Amino acid sequence: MAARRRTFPLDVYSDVRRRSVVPLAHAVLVVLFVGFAFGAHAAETGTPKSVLILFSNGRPLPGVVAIDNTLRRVVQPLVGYPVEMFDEFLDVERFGNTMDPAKMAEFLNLKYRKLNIGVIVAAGPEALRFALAYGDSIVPDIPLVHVNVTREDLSAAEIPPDVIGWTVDLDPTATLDLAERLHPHATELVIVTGASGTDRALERRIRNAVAGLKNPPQVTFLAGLPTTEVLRRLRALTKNAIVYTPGYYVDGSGHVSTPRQAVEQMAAASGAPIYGPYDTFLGSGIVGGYMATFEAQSKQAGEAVAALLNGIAPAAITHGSMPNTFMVDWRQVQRWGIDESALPAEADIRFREPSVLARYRWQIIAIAAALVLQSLLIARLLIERRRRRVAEIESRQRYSEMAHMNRSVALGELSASIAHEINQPLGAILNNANAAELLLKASPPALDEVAEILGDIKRDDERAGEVVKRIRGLLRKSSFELKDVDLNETVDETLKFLVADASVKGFSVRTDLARGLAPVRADPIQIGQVILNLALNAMDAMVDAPVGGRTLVIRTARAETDCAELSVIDSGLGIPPETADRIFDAFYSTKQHGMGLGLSISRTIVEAHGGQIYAANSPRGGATFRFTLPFAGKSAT
Amino acid sequence: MNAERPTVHIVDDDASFRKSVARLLEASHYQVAVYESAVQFLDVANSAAFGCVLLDVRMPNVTGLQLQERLAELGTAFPIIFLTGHGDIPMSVRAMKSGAEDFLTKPVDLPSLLHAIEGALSRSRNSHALAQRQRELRSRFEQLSPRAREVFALVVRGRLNKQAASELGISERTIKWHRRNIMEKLGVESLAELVSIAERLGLLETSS
Repeated sequence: MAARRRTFPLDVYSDVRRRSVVPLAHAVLVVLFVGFAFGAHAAETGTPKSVLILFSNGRPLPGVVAIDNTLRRVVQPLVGYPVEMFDEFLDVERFGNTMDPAKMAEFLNLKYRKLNIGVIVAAGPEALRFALAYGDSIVPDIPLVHVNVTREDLSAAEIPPDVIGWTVDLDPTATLDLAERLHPHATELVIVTGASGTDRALERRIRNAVAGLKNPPQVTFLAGLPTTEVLRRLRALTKNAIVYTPGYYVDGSGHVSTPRQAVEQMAAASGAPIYGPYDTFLGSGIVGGYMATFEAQSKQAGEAVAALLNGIAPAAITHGSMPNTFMVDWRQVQRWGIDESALPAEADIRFREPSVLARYRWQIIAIAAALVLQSLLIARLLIERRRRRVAEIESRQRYSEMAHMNRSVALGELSASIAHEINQPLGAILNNANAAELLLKASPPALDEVAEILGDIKRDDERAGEVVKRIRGLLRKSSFELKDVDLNETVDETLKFLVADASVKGFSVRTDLARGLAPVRADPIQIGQVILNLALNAMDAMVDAPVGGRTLVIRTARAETDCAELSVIDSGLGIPPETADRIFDAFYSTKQHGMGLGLSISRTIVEAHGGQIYAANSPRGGATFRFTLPFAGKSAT
Repeated sequence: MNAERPTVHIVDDDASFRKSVARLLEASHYQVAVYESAVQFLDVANSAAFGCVLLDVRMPNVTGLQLQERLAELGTAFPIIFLTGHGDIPMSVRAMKSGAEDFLTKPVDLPSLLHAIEGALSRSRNSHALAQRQRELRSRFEQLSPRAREVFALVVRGRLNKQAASELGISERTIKWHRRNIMEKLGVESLAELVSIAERLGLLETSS
């Protein structure tokens, strides 16, 4: 079996073999190794089987890493015992021309003969060819599983039935066709390949595919150029070009890299979109291409390895070819303005940045919910605030209406006195007018006296006007308006309403006003109203007092609390103790016709001014009502 | 004191009104006297010239109504016209019941004022004339000797000469002489007139 395998042509290694110095010695060695291996195998049949993975390339390739990781991940769980897996790297991109496969096989046999290797995995076409040629030298009659090998790699040879694997399709045709569709305005196709043997093999494959394109655009091959030149040429491209590259291992100046690194550099420089055959390129800046991922390939291979380790005959394990899917980097789709609808329906779109909504779904829901709640709360608070404002306005209106009503009532109580005050000048005017008429009829007319009369008429008219003005001021439905007010002046003005009435009723009204009292911040009409209320209240309280003892004193002073203070002192019977608590309540009245508004409104007014109102009985009889008001200099409500 | 023209006594605490009404009445040829307060008028009421009082109801200390009461107490018969800036019904009723001549509201038009004053003054004149007659009778009566007044008192109570003579312990002739003398001095010619005088002078109630 081993002999049969050795007859397979090996593209790369045929050179190596030709250059091998002693073919005969080689053959002898192989025979020796076979014997060794058989012995080892027989000796170790009871021990668990291990897996040897042979890679065409070096360890750092992303594809290698993906294959290795996936195999290790997939195989172990499917096998009932601990599986050891060993990696060997042929590094063909570096040593393809210098390595002696026979020596390598010899080395591997030496290295692994004590181990019970159950399966060899060949990752890459070179590894597969090496394994086919020398596998038996390493471990006789060993089943082979391949991965990352194309159909073309296999087609050149007859594959023994115990070689299992899913071939990959690296033909660029499908990718190039699609790229042309995605970039309908592109007129140039640029192919970038490298300088190593592997690179050249890839180049050949691409040239074949390009030649087979149905309507080939202008094609430029940048094959085996130094990286700097490649980048310069790519930089000069526009969107009218499409770049296709499998990357390269070695550039024209002999610099070695991984294809992925090469593609990264190209993508960074290129003025045109880049397509490629490997999924490991995705994310490096290429748009995409038709490809089977290393992971998917390795998974298939791993399952086959596990089946072999579990004793299933190679012939019973199905295998075939890996289907390619179009994989695309969403960021590049956007960068190059590719029409999304032109992408194949089954395209595997990577790096699609999930929409913000998708990415932060719960956070957004939570925030939205919070916002909604907050909005509701705010709306509620606003509504509440509005309601409160409306209520405040309403209550202020009510209050102002009540205050107005209270003033009207107070004036009503004084109506007799007011009528007297108005009719007095009106009567005088009429008398004077009549007298003047008579004097003018006399002969000679007493013109001097008529002139005097006219003067008197004017004066009386002013007097009547004054009274009317005063009443209108008190009856006006004015809004609450604070200004600097001389409290003493307000007392004087207010008393004008009272004196006539008071003197007729036998009250003597006395004022005791503090000199130089600083102005208070107040609404003069409302404060006048408070004084009027307190004075009328006092007069009502003194109705039963003897005529000589009906004295009402209004006193202003500077209070200790740095406020102005006004006291209304009567000589009545005082406040009965049982009503003392309630006298400032609304609708509480001890008078038969009282509405119980006067004191309650007075308190409301004083408190609205930032002051306080008190009532107390005087030690010598009678009651004193006192209220304070903040001076204008201080801040008041 | 016994002036021919009656006087209008104006009592009002409002100087302006007082002056205007005095001025108007003077222009209407009335004799006027002005007083600032009820007290001021009361002080001179006894000796005041006859006429009427124009009184403001609403005045400090002593109001118009109180003045009316005081005047009644003093027995001075001044017809009172009330003037008020604002009169209510109870107030006017009370004033009229107490004998007010009229109750006017300020401002008062001239015809109403003059009509009220005329009415008051004519009453004043009548009562003034009556009072004058009364005073005359009284002074005549007071000229009678004490014995003559004793005889007068008995005669007007219907005593016969004989009864009067026996009560007084004097002769019937002397009684007759006194009667003739009394009738002469009082200017009457019949016993009926004598009884009427006695009644007017208020001598019948006091029995001696």
